[in-house]
Amino acid sequence: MATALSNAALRAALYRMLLMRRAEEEVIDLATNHENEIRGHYHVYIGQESSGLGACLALGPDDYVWTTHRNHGHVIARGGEPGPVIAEVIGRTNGYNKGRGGTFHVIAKHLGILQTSGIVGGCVPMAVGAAFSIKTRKTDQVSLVFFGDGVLEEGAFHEAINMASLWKLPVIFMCENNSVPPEGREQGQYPSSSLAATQLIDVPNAMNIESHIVDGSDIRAVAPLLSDLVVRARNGEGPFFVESRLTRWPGNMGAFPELIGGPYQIGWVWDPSTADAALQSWLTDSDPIALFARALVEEGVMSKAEVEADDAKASAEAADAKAFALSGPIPEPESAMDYIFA
Amino acid sequence: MKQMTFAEGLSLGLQESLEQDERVVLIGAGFGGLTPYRSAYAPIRGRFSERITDPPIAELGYCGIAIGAAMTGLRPIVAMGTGAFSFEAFPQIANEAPQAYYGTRGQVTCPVVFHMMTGIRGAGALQHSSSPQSMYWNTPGLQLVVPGSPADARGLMKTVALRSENPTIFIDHQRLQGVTGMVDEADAGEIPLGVAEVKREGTDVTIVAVSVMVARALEAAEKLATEGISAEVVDPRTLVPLDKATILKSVAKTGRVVVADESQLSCGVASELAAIIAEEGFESLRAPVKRVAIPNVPIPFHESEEKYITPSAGWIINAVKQICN
Amino acid sequence: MIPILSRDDLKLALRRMLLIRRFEEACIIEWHKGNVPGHYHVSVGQEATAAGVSAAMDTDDILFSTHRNHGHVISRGADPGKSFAEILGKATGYGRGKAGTLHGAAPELNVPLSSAIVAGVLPIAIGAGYAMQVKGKSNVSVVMFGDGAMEEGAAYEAINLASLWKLPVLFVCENNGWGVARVPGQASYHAPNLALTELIDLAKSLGMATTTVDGVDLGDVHRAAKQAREQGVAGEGATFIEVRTKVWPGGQWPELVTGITDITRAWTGEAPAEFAHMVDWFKHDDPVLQVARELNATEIFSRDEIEALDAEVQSQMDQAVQFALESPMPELETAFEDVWPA
Repeated sequence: MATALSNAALRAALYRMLLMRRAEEEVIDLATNHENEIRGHYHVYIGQESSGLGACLALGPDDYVWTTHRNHGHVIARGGEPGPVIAEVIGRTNGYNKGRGGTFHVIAKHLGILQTSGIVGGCVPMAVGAAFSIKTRKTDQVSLVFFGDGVLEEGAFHEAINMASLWKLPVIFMCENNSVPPEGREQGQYPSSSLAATQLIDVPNAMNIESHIVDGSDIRAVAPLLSDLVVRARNGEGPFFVESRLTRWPGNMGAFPELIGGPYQIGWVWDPSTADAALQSWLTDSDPIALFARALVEEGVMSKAEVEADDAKASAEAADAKAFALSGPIPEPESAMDYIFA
Repeated sequence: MKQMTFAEGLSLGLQESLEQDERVVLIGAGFGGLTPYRSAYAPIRGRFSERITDPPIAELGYCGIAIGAAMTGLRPIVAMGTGAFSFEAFPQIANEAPQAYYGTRGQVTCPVVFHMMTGIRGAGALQHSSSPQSMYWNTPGLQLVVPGSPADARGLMKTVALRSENPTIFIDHQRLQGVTGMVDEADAGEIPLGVAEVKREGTDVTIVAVSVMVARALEAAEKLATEGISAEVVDPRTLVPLDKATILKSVAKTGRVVVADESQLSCGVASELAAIIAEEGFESLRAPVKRVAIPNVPIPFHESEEKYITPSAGWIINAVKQICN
Repeated sequence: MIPILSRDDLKLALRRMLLIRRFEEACIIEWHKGNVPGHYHVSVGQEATAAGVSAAMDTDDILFSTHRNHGHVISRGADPGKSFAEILGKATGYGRGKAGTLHGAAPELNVPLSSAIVAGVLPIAIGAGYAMQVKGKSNVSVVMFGDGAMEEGAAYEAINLASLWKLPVLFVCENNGWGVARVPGQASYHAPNLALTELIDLAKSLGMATTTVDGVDLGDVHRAAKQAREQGVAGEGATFIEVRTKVWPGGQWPELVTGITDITRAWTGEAPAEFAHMVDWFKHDDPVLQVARELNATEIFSRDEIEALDAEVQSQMDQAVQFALESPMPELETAFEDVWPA
C-alpha cells in the first residue's frame, strides 16, 4: 500500500497542478488573441489536473502513457515541460513532437508517451499492445491509458479490454469521466446518456477486470489508489480499470474552451463568491486546485501566501513557456515530405 | 536450390524470421486459409507455439494491439486471414499505424506486418473476395508488399519481419499457395523493398503483373510465344516502395504495355501503374497502356459468374493482342 | 417441454425442424458428390432454435442471420428448392446464384440478408429495429448469431445502442460451445475467447434484459422468444437470449457422423452398431429426436403421424434437390446486373 505523500510532495503536486492550469490558459490565449496560431479545434485539461497528476505520480520512468485529444495536461503531469508542450500545440519545431502533431498529438517519446489519438478509443488497443509487449519481453513496465467516458461506447474498447483480461496484461485503464455532478463523484450509480450501463464500471466488471471508482477531483484519493494498482500490475495482477469521476469545468461546456470571467484568480479559492456566477458552485465543490489548496492551508501544510506565491511562479513559468513556443521555428514547408518511412 | 510451393516459401520465411529475432511474434497463425497447402505452415506452430497468440474475433482490437506492441519493442506479424476482414480494423491500420513515424517526425517507429489473403479465392462470394490493396496504396505511410513467387514470399517476409521499421501490408492470395518456384535455402534470400524483377525477358510487349497475376502472366507469355509474340514479364514485387526504373526500362525496350492486377479497375493497382507509365514513359509508348483488372462489380458466388469476372491468362493474351498486331 | 402452441402450429414447427434436418443432410450428401461449391455451414443440432424463435414471430417481423443460415431461412417458410438452388449457385435460387450459402436469404419472407462477417449482421439488425420504432410498427427485428460474434466490437456497439434506445430487437445468440457441458447456470460455459463468466453478462452490464435457454428444448426457446417479442413490441426494449446447444460432432467440413436421421430412434432408443458411440447425441442432444420424443410421449402426435410427416418432408426435400440440380446456372452476363437498382 502506498504511503501518504509528504508535505514537500503535496506542495510540489499543487505547484504542478497550477502549472498545468496556467499552461492551458496560455493555450487559450494563443487561440483567442493570436491570429492563426491555433487554427482548428483544441481541448484543455482545466479542471482535471488532480486526476492526471495523481495517476502519473504512481508511474515510473519506463512506463508507457497513452492519451487522447485532451493530452496537454497529461504530458505536463507526466513530467513534460510546458514550453515544448505549448510549442507543439502551435506546431513549432521546438515542440515535443517537432511541430508535426499539433494539439491532438503532443507526443513525447522520452516520457513514454508514444501516441495520443484523436480518434475516440484509438489509443486503447495500442495501450493493450504495449502491455502485451511488456509481458512478452518480461519487463516490469506498466502501460497506462487515459481516455474519456465516451470511449466506452466504442467497439474498440470492448475488444481491447477483452484481450487485456483474457491475457492478464499489465495495463491500467484510466477512464476520466468528466460528466459527473458533485454528488455523484464519490459513490453511487451514475447513468450515462450514451452508454446503456448503469455505471461505467459494470462493463469492465462483466469482463472480470478489477474496477474502481475514485473521486478524480481529489488527488489524495487518486494517487494512493493508482500507486497500489501500478505495483500490483507490475506483479502480474492486472489489468485494472479506474473510473476517475470529475465535474466538468464550466469553461469546457461549449465547443471551444472559454475563460469565464478571465484567467483563474487564486483569490477565488478562498472566496468563490468573488468569481463569475457560472463558476461559483464549481469552485466550491469541484475545482481540484481549489479543493486541494483549501485543504493544504487548513491542515497547515501551506499558508495562503505560499499558495499565492506558487501560483505566481506557475503563471510566470507558463508565460515563459508561451514565449518559448512563439519563438519556435515554423517547419520548413518541404519538410512535409520527410519522415514518411523510416 | 529446391522447388517449393509459395506456401512452403512463405512458411520458410516466417520460420527463419522467428528464429533470427525473438522480437518477432505472431498474432494469429492461420496462413494458407482454407487451401490444402495450409499444412506447409504447420511447422510454425510446432516450433514456435509460445510466440503465437491466438486472438478472439476482434480485428480492430488485435490490430491495434499489434501496433502498440510494435511501438514498444516487438515486431508483430498479424495473420488477418481474409483481406476483407481488414475492413474491420481499418481505423487502426489506416489511421493509427502510419501516424507513428510521420506524426512524430521520426521519433517513433511501428514495425508491424499485416498479412492478408486477398482476391477471388473461389466461392468466397461477396464478403470474402475483396482486393483492398489499392486502398492501402492510397494510404501514405504503409508499405505494400505483393510477392508472386515462393522465393519472393520468403525473401520479402524476412525483410519486413526483420529489417523494416515501417508498418507493412503483406498481400497474399489463396490461389498463390500452390504456385511453385525455386528457392535457394542456402542463401539468406532477403529481398530488398523497391526492387522489381523481370521474371521473363521479351521484346514485343511488357506485361507488368502483380501477385497472383504473375503466374497468369507467365502462362500468357508462354502461349504468346507460340504465336510469335515475345512478352517480357515484370514483377514489381513491392508497390510501396515501387521500382519505377525497372518498369520504365522495360517499357522503353518494348513500347507496349499491359498491366495486370486482381483488384477492381477503378483506382486499382493496374490503374495507378498505367498512369505512372503513361506519364513517365510516354515517349516510349507505341500503343495505349492496357489494364487487366476485375470489372467494377462485387464478386458473385457461382463459379460460372465468378470466373467470368476473374482476370486470367486469357485476358492478358487478349489485351496483348489488342496492342500488338 | 412442449411449446404453448396450437396443434397445427406444433405440427408446423416439427415439420420445419424435420425439413431443416433433411435439408442439411442433403447439403452434406451433395457436397460429397462434388455438387456444392466452397465452404458451407450446417445447423444440425440447432433446429429447435430456428423453429422455436420462428414460431414466436409474426410474418412482418424481420429476421437476420449469419453464414450459418440454412435453418433460419427454412424456418421462416422458405422454399427448400429455391434455398438449395442458391447454395448450388443456380439462377433459380433466392439470390439468383449471386449469394450462395454464405448469404442465404429470402427477402420476400422478411429475411433480407445474412452477413458472413462475424458480427457484421448485428448493427444492421438493430437498424431494422430502429426503423420499426421510428415508424411505430408493432414488430421486432430478430438477429441470429453465434457466440464468436461476442468477441467483436460491432456486437458490443449494437447491444449498447439497442439497449440505450430501447429498440424492438431480439438478440438470439446460439452458443454451441464446443464440447462443454450444456447445463444452464454452470459458470464455466463461456467461450474460451471471451473474458466473460457468462455470455449474458455483457448484455446485462449494458442494462438489457437477458435469459438463457436450452437449445435442445423447443418449448424453452419458444417461451423466451415469445416473451422477448412481447416486451419489444410493448416498447420495453431489446432482449438478449443465449441459446445453449451442444455442437453437432459432424465437424467444420461436415460429415454425416450421426448418420441420416432415423426418427424412430426417438422412441426405440436404439442405434445401429456403427453409431453406438453417438448414443448420447441421440438421447440428449438431438433437438429433432427430442421434440419427436416429447410430442409422442405427451400423445399430441402418434408415432405413425410423426413418421408420416418425416417421410413427406424427406420426399419434399428430395424434390427440392432435384429441382436445384436441374436448374440452370446463371447467364454469365448477369454478373454485371444488380450492382445498382434500376
